[in-house]
Amino acid sequence: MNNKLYFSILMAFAFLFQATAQNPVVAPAQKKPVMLVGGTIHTGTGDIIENGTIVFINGKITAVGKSTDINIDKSGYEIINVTGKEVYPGLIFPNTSLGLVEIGSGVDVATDNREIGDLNPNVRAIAAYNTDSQVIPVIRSNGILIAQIVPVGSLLPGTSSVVQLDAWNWEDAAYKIDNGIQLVWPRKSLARRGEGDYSRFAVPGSNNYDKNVEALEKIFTDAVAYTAVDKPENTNLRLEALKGLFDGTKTLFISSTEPKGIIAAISFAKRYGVKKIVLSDADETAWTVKDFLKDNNIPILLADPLSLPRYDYSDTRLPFKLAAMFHKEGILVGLTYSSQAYGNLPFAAGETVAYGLTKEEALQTVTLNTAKILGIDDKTGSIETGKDANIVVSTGDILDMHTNNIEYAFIEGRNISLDNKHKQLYRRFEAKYADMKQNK
Amino acid sequence: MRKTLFLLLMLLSFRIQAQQDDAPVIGVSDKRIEVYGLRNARVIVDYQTTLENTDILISNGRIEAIGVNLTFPKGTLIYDLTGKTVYPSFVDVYAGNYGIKSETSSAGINPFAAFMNPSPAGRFGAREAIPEPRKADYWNDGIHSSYDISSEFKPDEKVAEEYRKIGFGAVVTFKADGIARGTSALVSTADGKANNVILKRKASSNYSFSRGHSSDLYPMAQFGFIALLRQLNYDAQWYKQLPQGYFQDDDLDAYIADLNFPQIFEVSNKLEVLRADKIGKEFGISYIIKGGGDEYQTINDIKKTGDKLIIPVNFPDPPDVKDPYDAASVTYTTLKNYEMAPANLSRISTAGLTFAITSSDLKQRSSFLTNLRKAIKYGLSETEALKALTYTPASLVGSSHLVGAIKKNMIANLLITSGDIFKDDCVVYENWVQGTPYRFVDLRIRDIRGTYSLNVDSAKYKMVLSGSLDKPSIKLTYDTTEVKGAEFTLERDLVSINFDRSKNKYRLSGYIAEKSFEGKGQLENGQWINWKAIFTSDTTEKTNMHKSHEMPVPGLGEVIYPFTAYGRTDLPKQEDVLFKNATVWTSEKEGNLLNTDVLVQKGKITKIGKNLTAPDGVATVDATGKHLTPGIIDQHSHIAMDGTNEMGQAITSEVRVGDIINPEDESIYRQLAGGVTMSQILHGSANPIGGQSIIIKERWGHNAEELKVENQVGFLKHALGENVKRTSNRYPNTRMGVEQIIRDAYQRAVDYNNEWKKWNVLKPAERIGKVPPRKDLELDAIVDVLEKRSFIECHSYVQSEGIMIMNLAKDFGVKVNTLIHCNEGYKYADKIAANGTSASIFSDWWDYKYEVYEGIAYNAAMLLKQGVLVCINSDDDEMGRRLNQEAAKIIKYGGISETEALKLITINPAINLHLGDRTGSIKVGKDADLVLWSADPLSVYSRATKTMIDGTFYFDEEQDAKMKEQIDNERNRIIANILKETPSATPSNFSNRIKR
Repeated sequence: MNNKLYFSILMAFAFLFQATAQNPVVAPAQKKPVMLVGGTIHTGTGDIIENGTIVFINGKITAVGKSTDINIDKSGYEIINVTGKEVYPGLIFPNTSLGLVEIGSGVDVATDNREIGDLNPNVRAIAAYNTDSQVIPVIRSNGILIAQIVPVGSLLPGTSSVVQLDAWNWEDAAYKIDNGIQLVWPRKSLARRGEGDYSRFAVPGSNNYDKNVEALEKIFTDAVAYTAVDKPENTNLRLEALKGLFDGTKTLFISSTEPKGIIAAISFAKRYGVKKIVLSDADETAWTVKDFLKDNNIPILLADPLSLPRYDYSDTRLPFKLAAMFHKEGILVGLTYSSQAYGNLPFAAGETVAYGLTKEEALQTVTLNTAKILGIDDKTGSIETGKDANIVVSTGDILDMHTNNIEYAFIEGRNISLDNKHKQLYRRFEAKYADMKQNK
Repeated sequence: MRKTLFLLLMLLSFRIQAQQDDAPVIGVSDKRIEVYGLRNARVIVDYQTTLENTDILISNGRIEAIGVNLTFPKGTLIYDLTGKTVYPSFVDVYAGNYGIKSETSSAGINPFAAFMNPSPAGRFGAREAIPEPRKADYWNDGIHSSYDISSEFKPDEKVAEEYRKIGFGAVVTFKADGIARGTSALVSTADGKANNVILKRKASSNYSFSRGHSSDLYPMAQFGFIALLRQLNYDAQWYKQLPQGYFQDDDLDAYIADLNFPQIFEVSNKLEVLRADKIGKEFGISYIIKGGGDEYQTINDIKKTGDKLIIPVNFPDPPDVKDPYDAASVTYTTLKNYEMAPANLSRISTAGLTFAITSSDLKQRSSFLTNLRKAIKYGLSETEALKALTYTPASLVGSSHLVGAIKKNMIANLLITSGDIFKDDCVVYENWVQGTPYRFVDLRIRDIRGTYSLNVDSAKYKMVLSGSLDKPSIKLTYDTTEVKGAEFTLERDLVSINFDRSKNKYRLSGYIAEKSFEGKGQLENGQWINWKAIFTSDTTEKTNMHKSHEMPVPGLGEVIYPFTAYGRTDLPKQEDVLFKNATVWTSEKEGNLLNTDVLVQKGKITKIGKNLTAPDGVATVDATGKHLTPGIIDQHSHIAMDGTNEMGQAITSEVRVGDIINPEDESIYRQLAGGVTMSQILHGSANPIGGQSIIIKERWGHNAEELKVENQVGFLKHALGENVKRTSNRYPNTRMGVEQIIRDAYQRAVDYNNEWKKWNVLKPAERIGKVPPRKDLELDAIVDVLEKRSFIECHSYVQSEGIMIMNLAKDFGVKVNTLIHCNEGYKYADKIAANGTSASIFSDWWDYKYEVYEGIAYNAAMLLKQGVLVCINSDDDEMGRRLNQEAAKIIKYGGISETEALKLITINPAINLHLGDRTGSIKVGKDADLVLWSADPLSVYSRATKTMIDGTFYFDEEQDAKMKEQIDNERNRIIANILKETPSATPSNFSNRIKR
């Protein structure tokens, strides 16, 4: 095949792709200082500033306050008038497969979040993160600007990272690289008598709980010993990956949905000197051990509030209520949402408002609280001076699907595109109908 | 020691059998006396009659005579039964697989495993139908009507012994395999030859909802089983009309002939009792139903069937609640059922139903009497129990003249006991089967339990014998110290005692002399010693082994409807209500009405207006600041169904969701909490043509039939794309094949319909000698579509297939009622609108598989703009509770108005389901299906506070909170009772220890 022909074929393909959906251009770095003027600012710290102004320069917020209090020479600034609009910190989506799984099911080759084996702490989500996933701009358009991308599986599925959602490649996307190790505590109670839903699937004698716990104990014991050696003769990638847990540079994200499993897993982690522990995928089972969580100062990432109660006797709307219940106990709560593709994280937070949280508290469950949990609250999670300018402007209440309508989004001060595949296909086929109408 | 005991037991159970034999004598014959006289017993003649001091004469395995002071012929072997009680041996009509060795079904058979690895023998296991030679059996391998168990039955000594020990003298054995299982036989539990033991062939025909070892994939789900039974009955009707020499089917022959015998249907729970009853009565068959033991939970509905029942006593094991954290995973239903299941028989009896008790389903058959006695403690009368173990089972299989009573000429099956068999301390000495005594405890055994003074070689001990009559246990004390490890053995009149004390081993052997024992013993050094044990007093520890576990019957909780959390003891009633001062979302052209009142009377909306006054007796609900909307309608749901797909065949239009509605699915209640009042329950999407759906209203607490919406039209599920083509071992595997298999089914239905039309116009005389068309339920369901009694609901994703199915339908003169999912509907909305088809879609779901990679959230708005009737559906138990929010998203994605958004989940689905004139909007004359919201129903901040269906409040936020409190109290009460029963806490094995 001569080069010319090859090139034309390539071009033809490129054209084909052009014709269908295409991710928008990544926004360039902030060059000009920006002043967002007149909006109602929900700072993410619980405060609301009516008719406020935010100033950001080189990607950092330099001033926030009532417009009347901010007296800066406006020359050289790009002034964006957001009067009558709602301004929020960019939402943070923890514990997701975004950019790792392009298509939810049925297409194995589009899935990059589950490695073979049980002890893969060294497997890094960031290495597989696809910035060109067509899903990213879709959820970004609802106000989600930051995500924690996580490997899944059993026992130790891998290392998560935090990414910002507008980048050319994963190096650029990395917001906090390798921030956490995922620990999926083994299930114990598959075959317990009287346990309605599980007994059907239980194979008596097949529960490997003890074996699995021993495997975890072994690798953590070894990791502690390995950490004590300055220059190990044999480098072990798995143990290397766990090191950060013992000096606090990595957080251990524990997943367990059994009350005793939660206690066992957290006790386990503390015994090995893990510095930072978070309970992720927490649901009503975590509520039964809330005192333990409180006593040990464990923050939680609450499983999707938009899910069914676990037991027949559970409160009919318990998943909606849990965020408020934990919050009132003084436990730090961040929210997750089950699907990476639907952009419903803000509405999951909104759901908790009818069941006990204030709107500002609900906002925090998807902004500042989550930033604290992910260890990025020094950079983002709230609209405060010194933090990255990760800001969303909505014409209405961001947490209510009725009114959520994002007009601007800034990541590190960059005014990012809110176009996405859905909008492109919308335009493409609206054009078809417009054309049909004309030809009638 | 053990060896002698064994020999002795052998002697005891040695017997000469009173059995006929037509085989030639081999060697020297050994015919013995077979006449027995039982003297002076208390005889329970049948469940109603007891005779004191009565004699029984048994000859040739039959009762020859019964009466007072009978004269026994010379040579009669006489048993003195003074003080003993004689019962007729029990009859078990449900002894599955007794005496057969061939492979039978077990509960563990997983049809999905069969689906993934089809057996090569199965007729539908292949990728495509390959015609191959077949014997003259029924087309489906789940139907074994021609099987006759007497062709295979051989008495099984081990199992027979188990049955005899728990009191059974006759059982009905059948092969527990498949849906139609052929015929059973009434057999005695005697050992010997089947010739003697089979009392009655074809005692019953047996059926079940279980596929067993069928080599066919179809049917795999319960609605498939029901559809197959329905087809079987129609096939039987057709077969009867066939001219000779046209078609032979051994199973249909047998099925038809055996309908004359009792028809027994096995189910596993109370809902299935009603399903089996219903499918039977469709064809005039009243099944005797073998239940699962939870009938008390829906006793009123079962009572209405009037069906005779066969009920097991397999009460659930106590749930594991020792650890409070573990206890959290025990469901409410499990706890309630654990507590109440032992009262099942009592409640069935109180309801006046005819029932037999079976030992079937027990993990250990030996626990039968214990559990039976438990049922008595829980309120079953002894007379009813005895009737259910003797007369009823015998008469269920038309054999009350043979077994179940002790009367002249009946088979000599009787139990000799120490007294009332329903009491814990009763000893069953012997079970006589067909005149042959089978001994468990020696009748002559003496009660030696008591306290003795034991003198051994001048040392004095205190000896206490307690425990069971035939195997008492010993407690030996010297001074005040217990001598550990003492052993006591009783061998008829001989006793031996072994123990160690002060480094000496004592081995004593002796005999019973009046109330004392005496004999010789030997020490280790060989020295012989004398010993004697003198009776001093009765012991108070004369306990039965069961007694130590005996607990008082706890005060039982109440039955709730449904029998799950948030069930109620009393169902809510229809109310006349005036909603005052609400923001009323009419979903009509009037739009939203502010500060408006809505009057509900007799389940209908009767008045809408401002400042209405409540008529007398009408309650007022202050709706100030609240929003009243029509009940939400979920166009596509899979709640409340037992099974979702019948995957056994690609075309299963015969399957009916209405056959397997589960009114106890808690999702019903949870939908109510989200304002849903009506849902279309659809077959799943595994098949190009799935099954017939049913529309229900969420009338929580009512039975399956009462949930169904009255006078609904039919809907038939079709499905295209990935779900139907991804099964690699089944046709189709491409969208090309999908189109063809549906087209073929429709074409077959057209031809079939024509065949019937031709037949129907023939005069009776013209039909003679002709082969009538076979009624085919699969094609009937498609004919219903062709004749517009039923409508196409088609699961589809991509544009190509959506256009395909609309065209295909058009080719057959019908239109697609709904394109379900229709994620690419926006690409061809013009065509959907022109076709008059609705789209029932998700708001923003996409990307969950390849065929929705171009699904977009603007779909609904774009479809609406082109004039398509759009519904937002859930297809999901969870999202069904938030359909208001899903509808609200269409305001965000496409900018439709609020009132248009609400219509997506109210009037639009009502119109789509052909119920637009009855529900779906707030309009005078319509059903009072209403939701009162705390705030704007399209806001995420709104909650459904009250949900009403036909004028009845089925959900109320405040009541919900109260119910939760009651549920917690009830849980705590039951758990406390369980802990009392099982006080010894075993340590949790949830380990968290450091190793190495």
